Amino acid sequence: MRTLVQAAVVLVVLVGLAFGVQAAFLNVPSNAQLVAVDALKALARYHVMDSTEQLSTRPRRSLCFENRVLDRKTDSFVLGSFVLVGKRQRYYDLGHGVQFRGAGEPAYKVARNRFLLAGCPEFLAQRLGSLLLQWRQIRVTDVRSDGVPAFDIHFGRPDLGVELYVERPSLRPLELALGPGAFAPRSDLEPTRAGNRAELIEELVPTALRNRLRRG
Amino acid sequence: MAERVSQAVEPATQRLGWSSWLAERRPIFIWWAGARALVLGTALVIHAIGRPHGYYSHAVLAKPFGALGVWDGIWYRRVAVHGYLYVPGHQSDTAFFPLYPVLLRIVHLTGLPLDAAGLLLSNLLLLAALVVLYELGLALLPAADARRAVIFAAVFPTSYVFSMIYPESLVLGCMALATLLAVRGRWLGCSLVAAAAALARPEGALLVLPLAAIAVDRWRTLSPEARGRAVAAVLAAPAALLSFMLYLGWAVHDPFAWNETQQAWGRSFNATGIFLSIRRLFTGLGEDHWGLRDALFCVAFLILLAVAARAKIAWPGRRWPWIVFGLAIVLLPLASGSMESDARFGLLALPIYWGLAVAARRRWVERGLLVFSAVLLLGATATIPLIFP
Repeated sequence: MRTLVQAAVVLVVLVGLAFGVQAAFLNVPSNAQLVAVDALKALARYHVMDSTEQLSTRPRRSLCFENRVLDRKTDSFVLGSFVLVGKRQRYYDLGHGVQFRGAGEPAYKVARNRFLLAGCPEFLAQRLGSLLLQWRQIRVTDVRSDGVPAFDIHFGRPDLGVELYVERPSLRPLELALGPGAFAPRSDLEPTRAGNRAELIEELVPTALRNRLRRG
Repeated sequence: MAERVSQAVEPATQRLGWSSWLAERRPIFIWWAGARALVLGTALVIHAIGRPHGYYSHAVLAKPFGALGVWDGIWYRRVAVHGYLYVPGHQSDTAFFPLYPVLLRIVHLTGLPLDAAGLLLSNLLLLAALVVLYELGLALLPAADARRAVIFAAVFPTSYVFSMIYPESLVLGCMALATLLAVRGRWLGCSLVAAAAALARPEGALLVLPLAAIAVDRWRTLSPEARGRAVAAVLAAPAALLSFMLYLGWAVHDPFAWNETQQAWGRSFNATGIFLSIRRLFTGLGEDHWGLRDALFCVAFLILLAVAARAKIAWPGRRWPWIVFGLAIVLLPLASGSMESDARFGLLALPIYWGLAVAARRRWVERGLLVFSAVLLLGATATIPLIFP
């Protein structure tokens, strides 16, 4: 018994001391950083995103569907993000840049912005997460978006970067802006967890990639 | 009168004690200085000629010892400056253990730039680690073998890592010191140092094996209080891991952030990982030559562990916990499905140095291996910007 008590006392002191050393000498993330991380976690839970982009004068509806796709080079599954803008423009990304399918291919910058504004959840969470880890500085402002209380989270450089608006306190994504200011390209986001998968694949995924999709 | 004599004699005896202590360890200092000069000198040459710059821009290598601060060194400095931030699904800094960045920060507080603090810390900690490894070796082997083991540790081909802004020299020293203190029955000190080892790298937790072997061996001779301290020493390293989890839970709101970020770093552990890492080695032949480097070192470590297992070494406790400790350090990383960095991980398997010392008892073998090691050390240091250690 004396042996166990002695061991327990030493171990409790050690755990406390080790915790104290870490707490005393290492900085902790700011509240803004933690809100941003939670918002990215919430974003990544969705697999389908409906959005209305305002890139040009006329708003366009877009739809994004995400699924794992077999990468034949590495024999592993990678994130595939598939986007339909309007009724005809199809884009996809398998981690090697945005690809376009359809008539009248736009300039790469336009295609990339259109793809980003579609707000593909996991793709966006990855990009914004990288910006957060790289720049660390994050700005979170309490605002109202579409009449609901929201956080405006600015990722990346103050003069450029990306702004994600999420509902308070659920952190459901509401809006995305590719830069600060009122004139930055933006889109309203409407995420959904479920959807008719077969229909989405039929509508969004290029035929050549359909047999490489992971099921379930 | 008697008092005057003792006052006069004591300092002289102390001086003699210190000078003989230093004289006995002079080869260690010399080999440490020589090997570090080789590593630091090579880093200076990379800086001077600006190549190979590999994955890094010229701006990174524009600093005199820039090559020694790259790869994980960048992350350790980031933790020292900003603390941890965990973003799920990303290569986050929670993959890096906290003690080394804490020490970096403390040295940096003295006004030394972070890069310089890292280089100073790693190289001085290596010297301390070599001295402690020698003291531990004296408890296991003849003095000549103990000295040879330390010299091989100083010039081991991948020992350039000990001079980088990496925690390996800290962990090597803590592992050797924890086991030395256990051998000497200093269980409280052993607990503290074992906890430090586990707070610096996950391999530190494997100290459970040799410390348990020593504690079991001495159990009958220990008082109840000493037994309590011995049990605490055995469990100190896992307790330190627990404190890291508690800290992550408090700081980044996820106690498992270390484990979860491993997947993003390509290190998710599973039961078939070892077979997968071997398969990947063969399928990658002809494409990834660096994988072969790690595989060759892995085989060399296993051979050295086998030599150590067969050698007449006065293992504190029993032989097999020490060998399993070494095997676990070398083989566990392979369970992640990759051999990457095994040449670095194996540096912490203490018995490999004793295996080397025993294998190189013949003078010509010792000299040949030392020259071979030094040449490989030079070459390996020159490749730092090309491939992570």
